[in-house]
Amino acid sequence: MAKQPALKEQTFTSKIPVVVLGIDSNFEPATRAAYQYREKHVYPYVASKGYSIDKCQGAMARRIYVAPKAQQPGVAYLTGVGHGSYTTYTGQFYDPIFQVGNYLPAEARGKVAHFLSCETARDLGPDFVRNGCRAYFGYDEDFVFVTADQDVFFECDSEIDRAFADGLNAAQVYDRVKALFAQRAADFRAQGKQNSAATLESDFDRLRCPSSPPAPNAWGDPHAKLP
Amino acid sequence: MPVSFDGTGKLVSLHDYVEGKRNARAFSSLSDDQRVELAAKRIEMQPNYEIGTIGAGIVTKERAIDEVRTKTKLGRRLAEIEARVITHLIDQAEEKQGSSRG
Repeated sequence: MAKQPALKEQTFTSKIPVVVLGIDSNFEPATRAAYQYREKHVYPYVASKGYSIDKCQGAMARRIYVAPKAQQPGVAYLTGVGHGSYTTYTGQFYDPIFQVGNYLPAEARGKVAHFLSCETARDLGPDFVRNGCRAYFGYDEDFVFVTADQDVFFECDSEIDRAFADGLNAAQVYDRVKALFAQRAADFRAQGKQNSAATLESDFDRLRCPSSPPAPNAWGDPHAKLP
Repeated sequence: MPVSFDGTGKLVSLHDYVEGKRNARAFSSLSDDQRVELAAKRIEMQPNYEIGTIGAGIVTKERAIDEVRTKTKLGRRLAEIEARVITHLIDQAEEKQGSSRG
């Protein structure tokens, strides 16, 4: 039998596990492809590092289920794939989950957040940080991928999750993710896939997080890391 | 694949552009409308073009061309991606040409 990793714990009044809350929609081909990648390559990796995983996926990726979970003690990291706009991260069938002006500060406070979603880094990310989120990783315009190479795009984005799970702080996570985007773009060029390379570079330029340009920025603390 | 236009508005290939044939206009001197049309033409010529976004979902070639030509936000992004490809290819080809002459 495979050895289970020791669960990470935080000390409050008693020791409780550190929880990663995954919020993934999967109702159409784009989100479904990312959801499938994350199920296979992200959550198992994060769990192997000792984090407890709680998921609101598919029909459960709706605000009525997410909001109470996000406020639970122990939840340290919010992550997921879902359609977005400048002000809103959405779940299944565009259910608004986190929307500027329509969530409680307790849902963001003290947490690190990363959403594979279009546009949310422009307004929702800074709003999360104003409400106590320690670091926000997201994209300020569309996240575009070439469907024939989609897993490479999801790999680059989800390096954020893997790097946080490895214990890096937000600045170190950004550096590692930047290196992977650059490497995969170079790999694409070596294969003659110019469009995939350019698309990947274009996505990286839209990644906003604590140590990304512009400086000073509104996406949190470069030293933020998971417990 | 085309990377610019000539003086009569015809498409110019990378090879002809770098060789200085056909009086190609410098990519940097193209107007916004010309860059948009060039991006649309390039997308049209790619046999298996399909992209996805975590916003608009899966985008077919036909839709991508329409988004580019109507200059929507997504279309602007796709045109920018084509511009990245073109500038990279031109830089690479000119570098190669320079080193073979040098």
